[in-house]
Amino acid sequence: MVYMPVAGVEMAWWPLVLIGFCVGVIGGYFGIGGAFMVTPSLNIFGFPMAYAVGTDQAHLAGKSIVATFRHWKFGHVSVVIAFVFIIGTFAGVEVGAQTLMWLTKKGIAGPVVRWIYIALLGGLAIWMFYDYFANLRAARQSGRELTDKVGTKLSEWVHTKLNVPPMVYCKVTKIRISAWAIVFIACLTGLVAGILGVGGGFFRVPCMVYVLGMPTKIAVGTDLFEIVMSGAYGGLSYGMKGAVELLGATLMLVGAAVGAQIGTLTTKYVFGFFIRLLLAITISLACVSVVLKQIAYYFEVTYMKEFTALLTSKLGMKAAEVKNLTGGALTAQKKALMYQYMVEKLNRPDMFDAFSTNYLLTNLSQYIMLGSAVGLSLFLIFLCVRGILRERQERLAAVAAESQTAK
Amino acid sequence: MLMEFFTWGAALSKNNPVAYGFLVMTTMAGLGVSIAVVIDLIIRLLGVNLGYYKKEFEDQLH
Repeated sequence: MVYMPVAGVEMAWWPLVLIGFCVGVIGGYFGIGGAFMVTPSLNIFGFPMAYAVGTDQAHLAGKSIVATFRHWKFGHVSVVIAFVFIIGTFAGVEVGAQTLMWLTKKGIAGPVVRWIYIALLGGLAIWMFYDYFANLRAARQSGRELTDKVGTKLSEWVHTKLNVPPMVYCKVTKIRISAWAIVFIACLTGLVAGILGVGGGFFRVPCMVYVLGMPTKIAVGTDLFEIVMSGAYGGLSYGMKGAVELLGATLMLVGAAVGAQIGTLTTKYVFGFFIRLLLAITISLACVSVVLKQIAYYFEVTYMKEFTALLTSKLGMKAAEVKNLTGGALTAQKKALMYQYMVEKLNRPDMFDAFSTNYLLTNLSQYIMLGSAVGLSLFLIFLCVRGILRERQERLAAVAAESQTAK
Repeated sequence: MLMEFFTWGAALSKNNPVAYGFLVMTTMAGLGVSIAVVIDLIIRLLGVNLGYYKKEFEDQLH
């Protein structure tokens, strides 16, 4: 156990290293920050939620440096596109964050954010699966291997018809594109990221591939380069608000730094289309998780209003005490406390039944995210080790063949 | 020694939030670069080829 001096709580160090490692592998491979996996995982292990987002943002900057370092060496980073992208992203995130604040004031932030999440993740996953299997069928019919496909009809239109100056030439991807197209996509993805309160890499990478027509691996590397800058800004901003647990972020970064190297190295041994397929699976799992959370919300609605009213009228609790009891993470302690209030004090087992279903679905959605993070990272480690061993075997075979020719 | 640094950081977060923000950013960036360099060396020592490789998308670029 270690003492977290900013949050003022004690917790085990290994879950932070483990979460960091898993999300590091996934982030390095897909070019995403993975906040949608980190926050529920931290919640499961009892990390104080007030510091979860800030701590995640802080470690993101360090992790992305590690992953970008490797992608840079592979030639997967387009600096010019990343810099133009960052301008639009910051503008979009700011507008999105303001929209989120407005939704929060109206008291509808939770369900609206979840419905946007569901529509976006669901739509994206369906499109990505369709694209993968259509290309797989075409590749099988023509008898070639499914590797990567650069460009779509939409990206061709953007490259050829949308010639609004200033034009940007990217040497790595060999594309000439209007800076406005990049800024527009960046604004859009930034807006969504701001409303959802996440980095938005899971949305940005597919946009780079399908709309800007970038090769998958370059989209991954470029997005990570952009995350270095946005993560540093996020770390600074949350740090200034005192919402970062530096020790927690350091422990996560230690795990993430190792994981990011493995994830990034794995991109060398797989084809671009395979990255897209795994990203589609990850997005689907995230979608299932959010759907469960939304169903849990419907159960919460059935008892929450009446429960808070009863706490005030029958038990004479103050507004702050009610907020303290009903808010926060749904832990086992919270469940025991709710049983005490709902069944023993208020004699309302029907309310506790609805709470229990809410508790079950919320925790299930969190475990789905944690399970998919662990499972996916194990699979990526397997791909990486297999790739290294194959490469070594090929090298040894080449040396043996060379020595035989010399004889 | 290390724990003292984090305790000092926690005090800084309350007394000087701006400085704490910069501390967070520089610690994460510094640690990220250091770990990247160390792991790069380890991977090289393990004999993994980190050099240029033939990318599958190169044939398709205009």
